[in-house]
Amino acid sequence: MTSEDREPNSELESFRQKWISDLRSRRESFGSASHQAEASSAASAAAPAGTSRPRKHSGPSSGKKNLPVIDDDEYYLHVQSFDGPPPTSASGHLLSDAPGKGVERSLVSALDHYEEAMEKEAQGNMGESLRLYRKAYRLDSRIDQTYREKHFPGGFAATKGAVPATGAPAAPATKKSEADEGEPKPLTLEELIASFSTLKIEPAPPEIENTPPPPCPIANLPDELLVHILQDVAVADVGDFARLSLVCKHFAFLVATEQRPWKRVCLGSEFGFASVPRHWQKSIEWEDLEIQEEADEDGLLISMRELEERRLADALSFTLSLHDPDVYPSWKHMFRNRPRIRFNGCYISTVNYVRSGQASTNQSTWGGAPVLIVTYYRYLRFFRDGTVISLLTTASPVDVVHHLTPELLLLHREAPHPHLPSVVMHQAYKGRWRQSSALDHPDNTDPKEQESDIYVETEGVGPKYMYRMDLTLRSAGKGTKNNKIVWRGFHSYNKLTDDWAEFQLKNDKPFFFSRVKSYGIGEPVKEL
Amino acid sequence: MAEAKPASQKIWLISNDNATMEVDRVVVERSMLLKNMLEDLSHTDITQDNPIPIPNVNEAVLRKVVEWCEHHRNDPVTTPDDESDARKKTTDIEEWDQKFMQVDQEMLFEIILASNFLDIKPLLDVGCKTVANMIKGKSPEEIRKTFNITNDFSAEEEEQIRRENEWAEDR
Repeated sequence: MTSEDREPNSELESFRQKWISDLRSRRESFGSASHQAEASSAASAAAPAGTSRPRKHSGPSSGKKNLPVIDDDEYYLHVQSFDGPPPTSASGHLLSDAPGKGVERSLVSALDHYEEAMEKEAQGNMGESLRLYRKAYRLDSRIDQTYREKHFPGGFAATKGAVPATGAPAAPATKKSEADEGEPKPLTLEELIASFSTLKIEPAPPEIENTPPPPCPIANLPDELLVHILQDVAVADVGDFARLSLVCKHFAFLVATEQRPWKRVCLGSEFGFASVPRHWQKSIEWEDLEIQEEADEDGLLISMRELEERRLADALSFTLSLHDPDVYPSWKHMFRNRPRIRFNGCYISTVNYVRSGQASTNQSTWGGAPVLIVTYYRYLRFFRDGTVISLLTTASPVDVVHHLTPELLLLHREAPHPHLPSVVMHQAYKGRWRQSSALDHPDNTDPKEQESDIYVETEGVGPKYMYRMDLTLRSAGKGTKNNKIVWRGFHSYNKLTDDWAEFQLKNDKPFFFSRVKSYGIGEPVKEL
Repeated sequence: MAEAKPASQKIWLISNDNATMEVDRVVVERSMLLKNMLEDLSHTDITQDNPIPIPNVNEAVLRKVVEWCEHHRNDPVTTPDDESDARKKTTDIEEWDQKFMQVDQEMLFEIILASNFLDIKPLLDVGCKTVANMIKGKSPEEIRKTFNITNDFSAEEEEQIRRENEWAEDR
């Protein structure tokens, strides 16, 4: 700890200051100021971020004076709380946003205990976490709700109401404080949107009174042409299109009610379902597939190109057939809910496991064998052209995600250097992926189930092995979709002996999606 | 009717502020509206003294539209086909068109309106794409500034709409 004291991290410092002042104000309201010593927290040290694993832990008994724990795993928790407002950081990278929390906390309220417990749980420290949870519940039996109110005010009700597909009467998404002030009950989203229907674009008022207002020619455009423009925006970037609804009420109405842009997006190859690889597009080593002729059902040979076109046409007609009240009632709904891999980030599986270490004679104070908590990560970054990068490492997301690019993989795979990004990227495997279609599940009639499987084939250790992951796309959380991938199986294939061997999925933690801004929106696939 | 000398045949147009201009028939036929109209007329009906009136469009805009049609006089006529249309890559604008669209905003929207009225789909597409490019990557506030739009939301409404559309940030 002494070495860590030497470099006071300014970010941590400011966080700590803020926290102390929070605590102070809270204690005033509690009225029992003599209870806790805040000096103890000031004395604690900030942990340097990114210390490598495995780290030692003295077990649950040492709970009160917890060691400064590295909070890489905070990241794991961070992902799951995605339905909160998106962190808008100036630095631009979601993954670097995890707040520094290496500070020792003196726990006062039930909420403190609860938060600490959640942190410990995320770090894999189950014993300590459980102890804190119990304490929190003893102090306040409704602590989970209190916690929710603090961190997701109105969030849960809001997102539920915001899903038009559920058809449920949208719960008014207001914070408690607003309701208490006796404001008029806010309209549901549908009512709100409907109330916008007759409104036009409001031109900006003149900057100086009694001067002609600035020209607002867009207000003169009929809806038909506005929709045309919106569609062009949507094709370039769906996020931009949805964000347009915040410009003014008329745009909000168009974005919410117009189906044409959504249809175009669904059918298109930029973000839509036309570009989802349902068949292998590349070899595992990212080479183009050999030009080979395949026989179709009638036994006639057709070229790859023809096959490609035929598959594209099939995909198109299948997509059109899914626009059906029973499956996906609207194009918007389809785009949101139909299983599809997301490209503007990567999927990360965090695995914690505990194993006991060897007792050391020098550390008699620790009373028994130390426990090693090992954390490792699996990363999958998918690309629209059917390739994928797979990486298994102990390096934490902050050190990895921005380097997870094909260029760096190719650059560092031969000669690893002992520094970033080489130190992680030389372990990355090339691979290919495809998503399942009705052909993979002829006996399953639910189109959502048919399409949610992901097959990944990657290089293995040494040239004679190939790894195959069988995965399934799922959704976690309330608002976001397709942000979770669960395991179905993991095999290695020996190319020389034609043997399949199964990996034991003892630690088959699911992958969770994390947006990474530096990936952009995932380059659209080139036209065929 | 006009197959005898289509390239050299002249057509006269008059804008809503009474400016007459002489244009080759092939150029005029970039407009589906005028093309269909001309097919119903015999070619002697249109003379310098009896030009086709183009209401809603003033001289400056009409000249601009004609300039575009001149440059694209030999483009193949696109057939409106929904499916191939849906797969067409639409983000690129060719260089000449980009330069052509470097006009002030009022003119830009006038061109869009005129091309819609005259039914010149490729020009309409270019115009809309130009506007779409002005929107791309901007925050709502920047978009309002760009187009002089008033924010007519209350804070609560804005928050509600924001939550509804949050998911779409994850393409």
